[in-house]
Amino acid sequence: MANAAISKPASHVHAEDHHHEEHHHEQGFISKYIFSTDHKTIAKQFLITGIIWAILGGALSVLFRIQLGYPDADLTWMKPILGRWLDEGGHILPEFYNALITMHGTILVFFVLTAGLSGTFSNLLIPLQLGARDMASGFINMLSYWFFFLSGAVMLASFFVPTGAASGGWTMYPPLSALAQSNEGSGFGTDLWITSIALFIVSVLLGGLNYVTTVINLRTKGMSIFRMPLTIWAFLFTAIIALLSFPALLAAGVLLLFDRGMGTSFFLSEIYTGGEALANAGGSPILYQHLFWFLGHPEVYIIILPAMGIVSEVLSVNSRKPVFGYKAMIYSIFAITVLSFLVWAHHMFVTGLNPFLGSIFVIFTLLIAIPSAIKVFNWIVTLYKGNIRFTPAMLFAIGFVALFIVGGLTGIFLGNSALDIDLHDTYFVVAHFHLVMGVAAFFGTFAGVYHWFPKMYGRYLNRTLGYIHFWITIVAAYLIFFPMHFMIGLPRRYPSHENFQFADMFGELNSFISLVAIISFAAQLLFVFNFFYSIFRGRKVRELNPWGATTLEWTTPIHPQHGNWPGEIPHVHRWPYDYGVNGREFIPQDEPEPGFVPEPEPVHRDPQNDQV
Amino acid sequence: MTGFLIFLIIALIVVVMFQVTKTLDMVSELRADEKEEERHAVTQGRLMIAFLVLGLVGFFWTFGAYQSKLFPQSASVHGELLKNLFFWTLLITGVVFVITNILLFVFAYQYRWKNNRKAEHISHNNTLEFIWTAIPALVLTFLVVLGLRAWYQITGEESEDALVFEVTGQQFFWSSRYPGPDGVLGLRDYNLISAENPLGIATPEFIDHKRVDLLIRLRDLKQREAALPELIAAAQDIIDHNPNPYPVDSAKVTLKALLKEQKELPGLQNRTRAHYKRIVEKFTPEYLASAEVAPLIKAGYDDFMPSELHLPVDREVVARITALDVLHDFYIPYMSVKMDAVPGIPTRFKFTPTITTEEMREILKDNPEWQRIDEGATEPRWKNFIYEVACAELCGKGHNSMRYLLDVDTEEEYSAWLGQQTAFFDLQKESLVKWENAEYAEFEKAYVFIDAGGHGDDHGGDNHDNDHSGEEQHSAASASIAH
Ligand code: HEM
Ligand SMILES: [Cu+2]
Ligand SMILES: [Cu+2]
Repeated sequence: MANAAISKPASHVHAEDHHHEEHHHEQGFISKYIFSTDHKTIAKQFLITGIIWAILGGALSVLFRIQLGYPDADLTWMKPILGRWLDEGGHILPEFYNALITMHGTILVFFVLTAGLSGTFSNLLIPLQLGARDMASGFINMLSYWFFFLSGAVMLASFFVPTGAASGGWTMYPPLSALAQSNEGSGFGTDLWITSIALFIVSVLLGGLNYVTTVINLRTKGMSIFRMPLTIWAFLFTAIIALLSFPALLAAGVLLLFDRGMGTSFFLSEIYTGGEALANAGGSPILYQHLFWFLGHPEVYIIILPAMGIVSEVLSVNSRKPVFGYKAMIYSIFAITVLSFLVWAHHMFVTGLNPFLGSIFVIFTLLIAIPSAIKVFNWIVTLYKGNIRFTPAMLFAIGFVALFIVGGLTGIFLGNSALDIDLHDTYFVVAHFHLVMGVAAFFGTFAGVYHWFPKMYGRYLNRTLGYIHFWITIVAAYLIFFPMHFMIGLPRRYPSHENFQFADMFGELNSFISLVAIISFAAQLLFVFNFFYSIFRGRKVRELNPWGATTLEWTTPIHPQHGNWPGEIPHVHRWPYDYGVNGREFIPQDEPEPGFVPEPEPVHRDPQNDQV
Repeated sequence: MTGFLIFLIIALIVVVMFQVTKTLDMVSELRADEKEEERHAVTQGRLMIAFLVLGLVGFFWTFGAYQSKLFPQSASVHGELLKNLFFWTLLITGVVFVITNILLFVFAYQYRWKNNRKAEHISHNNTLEFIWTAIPALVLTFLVVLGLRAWYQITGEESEDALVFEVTGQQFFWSSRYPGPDGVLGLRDYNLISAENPLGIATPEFIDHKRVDLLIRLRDLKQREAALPELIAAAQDIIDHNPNPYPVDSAKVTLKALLKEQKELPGLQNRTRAHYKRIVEKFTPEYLASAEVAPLIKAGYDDFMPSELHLPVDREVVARITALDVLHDFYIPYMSVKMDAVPGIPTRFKFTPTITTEEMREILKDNPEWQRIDEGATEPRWKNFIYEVACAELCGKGHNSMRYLLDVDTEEEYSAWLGQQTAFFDLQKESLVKWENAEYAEFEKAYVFIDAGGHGDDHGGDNHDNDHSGEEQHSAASASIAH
């Protein structure tokens, strides 16, 4: 395998070095692994917590897929776990079904694909790829993780509430979510849901502030913005989107809490429920939806942009070619960022939205398909005339592109308000967002994990298991979600469709989908096994730069300490995609141009070193 | 026992996996030579091509396989428009899908790793990038134009003579209301909803009925409140003095419930009182007699509430869509009708059914999916076909059971059906309680405006209002509009 000649001239050893050494002294277990301020450790914490949530969220989906695919299955043997959520015949009660889909969506969208993906890789890569010793504030970074952890603990607790976990859908629309008497899960479970999400938002905001600050302030010498790898661009814009959009959800959540407990009427008006006409007047349930989707749509990009960044990087490294159209990629990310704030109401086409307003949202929504298309074309052409190494990371990156294509294309159906009348809240939408976001973002994550695992743990993930994992997963993804496009008229969030003549003809297909879903869940456990096995037993990394990449993270030692570089932070002399130039296979970013003469160094040129 | 077995099996699997992985790692370490990457490239490259080919075959196959499950024909005018839009979008995206996937996987295969291959440094190409920005832009413009034309057609104003009807969602069923011969839906108010008036139609009789309803409720609550201490004492007594454990246990349960009830009663009474006041304050004689409201009140008398929807074919209709409790969504799959039902904010959807139920049965007769005979049925499905209304917005545990039926009739059938309908008011009027009959004015003094009596002045304007309305309105409410 291609090998970077990592030259680290001895003269670069910095005067401040023993200053560092102190930090490498014996750290207690707690400060090293639990309340760590090292961005690499925090990244691992996000990743492992994310994996645990993914297993739980996935298991929930297995349960409701059993209900959909095998409605007659007798689950009495699960009584010890599921308790009163089963009826006498051992079938899942509808209330519980709703709680399952709600928690599945919440967990995967927020805990796994936001915290687990962006939290992991922003933390890991921003300092490493930019040449910083750590995040701008290690402490705030640690807080960010622990707020996430706390938020998860609260969400987990809601499973044990007597009236059950929240069950209003991950979108938590009032009045259903506001009125405890209208829905079992809208009791204390929903209070916990809102609390958990509020804590989560604090976590995201703390993290986001740090990411943005770090990218702006702590780039190493020579790392001008157009020399930043696309991963960093993606993380930066993700953080900006998160900072601007999550507060809207916080507002929605707080107002919802008021409506639930304090008799306000932000989202409630003229409601007759439980035999009582409520006093609330003048509120609008639709207002909540505006607030929710003002976060909700940007949120899907918060999820997908980091995956896009990772995929760009992995595709380029493993094709041994620059990403095609680096600048175009950046401008596309920028366009997506801006547009992502202008399309939220496409989730609300059939709420009675003003038709003119609707048409504006149609235009912006379909506009967003253009930068998305540009990115896809650029990825495809990145492969063209490359020399492609099929590492598992690369396979997942290619799979990502394929999935993003299907999902993006079905977005074009949905974005046309008129067509959305047919498609809204049916399985077509389920297919759309699982392919484009759910599975694709997972593929981005997997690509990232397989690619940077050697940096995280100094070992490789097992390659063969990686291949098996990939092929089962991609085939399963299509088998599960592609046929759902053909369930066009089938309403989503139904525990069963047999009450309807128009909808009860998909029984066999549903069984098939459920079967594949279970298999693919098992394949994910294979990955989990591979992950934990390899942390301790995986093949050891012996070369600094195993993938032959240009970026700075591979200039750190195999097991980087807190502070990342034992000596001076490398300087950057070129963009991150110098593959195949000057007759060289690749040139690392920190390699000077031939004939480069370093400027004489001012005494305190590098303020970062002081701050570690 | 089973738990232990499951644990054992899992442990076994993990151990086996562990050994297998260890072996795999060792093998790959041993076989690691400069050919390794090429070997992987060959296998994975072939798999890529296989995946592409099978995938494309599957892609086209599914269209055929699920043809009969898709609804064969749109049964509304705008539904056909949408079919057209769907077709164009499918065509365009389908072409893009096929081309991009082929390029992706073929490139992956073609440029798979070879030790002696040199990747080319291609960083960008402005012409190419311009072209693939411009083409999507053009194509999307086409789709936007097509889409918005349909959108405005669908959401536009209805014609003058469109038939109006109303559907209302609540947990977990739909109900409907037609305007009756006058063609105008009567006024509704959620405060007036009662067992006898499930949609809260506002006529003076219904208003009085609801007031009495609330007053009686208040009286009962008051009585209950008075009775509670004794019941509580009795339960406490059993707990304190009865040595027999069984009655003690059940007494504890009872006591808990009673205490809870006692705690909640004042709140419940307050809310009921507030509810009563809302009615009195809103439905003042001036309000009922006002130029906007009076005709709407009048219009309510002939409204009827059938148990299923009937619509005439080829006539424009407008659904007025409302909800009582939480969000619902009025969804007729066959007709591309879908609109949220929002408490407090009525929505509308305009459409024109084009195929009668009978005609649709004839159409479905040829569809294999509809020729099937369901388990326990004697006739093929198409014979029992009827348009279904469903709920398309999560509304709680019965979300999937909100089935309502829609029969699309010929004009003659429709008039015949109309002829059979009786106004809802006429159905209910016998069972309504009349204000004049009894001591309700006394009730009102006793239970609603309790603090108004002697020291009304202390409480300022609020109570003035109450005094005023309490004394004079009830009689007026029923008298103001002659039926
Ligand atoms: C080509 C660009 C895209 C367009 C035009 C588009 C359009 C839409 C539209 C109109 C809806 C609403 C459908 C409905 O509820 O009736 C929707 C739903 C959704 N989209 Fe996209 N989309 C695109 C790409 C994406 C991407 C990249 C993601 C995520 C990474 C995504 C995630 C979602 C999700 C999660 C939902 C469903 C939310 C829910 O109702 O639970 N979409 N999309
Ligand atoms: Cu969206
Ligand atoms: Cu519903």
